[in-house]
Amino acid sequence: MGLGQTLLTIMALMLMGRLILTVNRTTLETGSTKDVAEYRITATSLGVSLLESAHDLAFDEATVDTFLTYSQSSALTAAASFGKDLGETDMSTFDDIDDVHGYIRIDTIPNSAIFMSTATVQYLSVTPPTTITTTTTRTFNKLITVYVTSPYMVDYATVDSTETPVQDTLKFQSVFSYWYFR
Amino acid sequence: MGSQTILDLIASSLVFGSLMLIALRLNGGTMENVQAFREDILVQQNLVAVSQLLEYDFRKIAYCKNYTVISSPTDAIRYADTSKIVFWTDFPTTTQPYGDGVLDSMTYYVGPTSELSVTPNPYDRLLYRVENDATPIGVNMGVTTFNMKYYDALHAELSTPVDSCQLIQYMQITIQVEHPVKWTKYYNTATYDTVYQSAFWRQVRLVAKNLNNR
Repeated sequence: MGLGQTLLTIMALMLMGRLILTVNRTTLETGSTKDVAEYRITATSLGVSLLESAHDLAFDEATVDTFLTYSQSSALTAAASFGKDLGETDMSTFDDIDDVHGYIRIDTIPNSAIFMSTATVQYLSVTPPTTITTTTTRTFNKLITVYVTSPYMVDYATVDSTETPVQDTLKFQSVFSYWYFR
Repeated sequence: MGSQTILDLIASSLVFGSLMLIALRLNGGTMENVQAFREDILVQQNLVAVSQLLEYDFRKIAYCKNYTVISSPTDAIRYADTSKIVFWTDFPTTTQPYGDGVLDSMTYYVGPTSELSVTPNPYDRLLYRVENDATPIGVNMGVTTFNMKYYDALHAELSTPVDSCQLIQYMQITIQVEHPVKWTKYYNTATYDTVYQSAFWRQVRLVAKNLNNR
């Protein structure tokens, strides 16, 4: 085999190698996207579950056993004091919404992934008709935000400064407003 | 034709044959993967469709446009078992998207596995969603697990079928959807048995949130 034929053979092998690597990468990326989609479904169910559980809680520590009127907003918990109260450990012992602030839960789902859910609670200032902003002032509206993430949930479309795909985080929000029947 | 030429021809034939075999194997593997991913997407889409339907319907447990019709939201659930639930709600109509103010009954349950004995998967079942007293029509979404647990206000699990449905405060819904056909590509890493492609969904839902605003 002459030099020209040898070079042609090497080139053919290189082209074939390149083709195999490209196909392999595409297959792996597709499989990863499919897996992440499945993790997102599970993460969504976990996030909504946490929101639903919070819906069962009283609006504030001050309204667990009594009612407040519109002018009594100063009786509500200060924004800086949000978080679990003494003796409270998890959702089964929380009695009002702001106890969920700073709550962290780890879920290990069989045949899936490990998920971390975190929650924050903020007061909301509502100025009709459409202006809604977070505030530290006590109001009768609270915004709960739940973040669910997993080390297996990676967004390959977004990369950081080192070209590394970033971990994906799902965000769920719900507004709680205080009201009672008279 | 000299011996060198013959050797060149043999060598090139071997190289060509190897490349051809690699290309064919590559093509076969790619096709298998594409098909498997497509089937996986089908399973996920089925699960999303079922969960969206359940979320929509279960969110409206105890809802009625005419709020005086349901005297207490605690009476909304009429029957509660692990694989069947019956509750009051208010269906939207074309002219009244928020309901017509008349109580409707919704029933969810899964049928026995024998109903889908024609599929290779021995565990899949028909899922039934019945409005009022309409004829039950099951859909095959590949549901293999449809399990509900019920909890009272103190987060204690209630035994099923629940005798006193008014005690139900939360419910946990677990759904698993599997593909009707087993693909050899998927293995249980513990037993090395081939398994069905599956997707899993579990959610806690509050039954009657109107009771709990305080």
